Amino acid sequence: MNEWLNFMITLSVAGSCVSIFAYSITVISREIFTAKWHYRNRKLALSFFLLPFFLIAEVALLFKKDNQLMQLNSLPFIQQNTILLTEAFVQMVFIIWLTGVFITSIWFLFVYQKLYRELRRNCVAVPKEHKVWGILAQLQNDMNVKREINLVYCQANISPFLVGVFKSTIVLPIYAIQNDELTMILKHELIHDKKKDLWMKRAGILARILHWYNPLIYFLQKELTKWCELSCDEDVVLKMSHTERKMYGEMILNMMQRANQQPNSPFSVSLFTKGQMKLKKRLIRILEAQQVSKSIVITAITLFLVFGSVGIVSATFVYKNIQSISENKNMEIQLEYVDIDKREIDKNSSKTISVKLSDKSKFSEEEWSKILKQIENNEVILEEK
Amino acid sequence: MPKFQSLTDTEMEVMQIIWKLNRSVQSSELLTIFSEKGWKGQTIATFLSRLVDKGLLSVTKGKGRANIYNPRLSFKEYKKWEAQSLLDTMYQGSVKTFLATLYDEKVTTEELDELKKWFSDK
Repeated sequence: MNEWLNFMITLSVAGSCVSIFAYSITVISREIFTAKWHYRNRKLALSFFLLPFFLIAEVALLFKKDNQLMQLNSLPFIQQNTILLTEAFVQMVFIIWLTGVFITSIWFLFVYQKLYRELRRNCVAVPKEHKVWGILAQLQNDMNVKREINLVYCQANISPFLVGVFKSTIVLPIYAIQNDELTMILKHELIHDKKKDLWMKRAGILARILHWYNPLIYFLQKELTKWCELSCDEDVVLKMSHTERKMYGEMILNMMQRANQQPNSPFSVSLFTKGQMKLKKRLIRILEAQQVSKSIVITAITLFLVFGSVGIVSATFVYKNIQSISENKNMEIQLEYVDIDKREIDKNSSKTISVKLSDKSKFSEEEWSKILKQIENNEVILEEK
Repeated sequence: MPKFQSLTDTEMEVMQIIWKLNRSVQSSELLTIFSEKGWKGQTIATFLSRLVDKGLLSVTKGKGRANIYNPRLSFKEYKKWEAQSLLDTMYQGSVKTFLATLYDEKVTTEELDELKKWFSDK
């Protein structure tokens, strides 16, 4: 249990360190690097929340540590009140953590089944002879997407999206969409599928379940969603001309307008609001996305490796420290034990002790044979009953 | 208006008959229509009261003891209500963790017009 807790804390610290580091770099380099790079960094941070990279460093020290542990384990331990208290505390923390994991899992299950139910109620399969299947097949061929993709129409004015656990399904709003817009929408969703973005989202859910107590995981999940979308746009438009990019941007605006069910606000706002601002930044990125120079690629890769190292170093540091705290505790106890032992030996040497035959069970075989010898030598008195 | 609750297959069947008739009905009428199903008066009454609870029918007392049921929504309105409930779910936030969308922001029509104008000059 103690080990498990150490493990989880280490994962949490490693993930948090990489998240903070990646975000700080983004703040100063937002426009320099590609959205794909920012997205990769967020994915790297997520992987540190889930995978124990610090064990790589541990393996290197394994042999050395094994020897130390063997030495420590060869000494017997004494249970003390302080340790009992610590164990009770660890147990309590573990139970709280487990309860959180349970509640978060139930919550996600509830949300998913609600969505699934709503989708089933609102969606109909796109008829096989519909033109949209032809466009999808052509795109799948061009993009080399071999997986079978399902297409459904939804009666609600939703944004087109990709969903599905085993088989990806593209959900489209039921109103008529022009062919060129349809192509761009499907391309966008196919890129999500090709890049396994839904799996990234699932990994994000898993991390949120395991690290529910860490506010940074909520922040990271938001960041992942944002960069996932921007990086997908980038992939769609990278080889497009300026005019085609404008069409893509307009398609997003058109889709949003058609889906907009909100009545016009009576209070006209002259400044850009948060949602509008985000959308504006996204549109600028669509127009300006370009292949980056070699020097930027090298800087990006170096920084990426630095992030990885930050994660591994911080995690190893935490993991080793937590371990050495428990090792130190053991050492203290052992020292105390040795101390007691010494005092007893002193006591034994100054005084002749006496034993009863019924005391045999209190000693190990070796000790008992020693005592028997001492009885023979009259160093120890054997008491009759 | 109560919160949207989906209809079971049988409830939908009953509602479709009522929508087709497009007027107020009594349970005795429905009993005749569904006679081949072998339903009892109590069964029909249960379905009707459930439909009242779900907000699809309103009930008034007619002559004698019989209840008169009126449709509160047309089929089209019902479908719109159903779709709205999906949109409400989608905008709750947590759902986004299960999908990859084209956009996830809510922006008002006016703001969109403004953005379109700005974007066309780019």
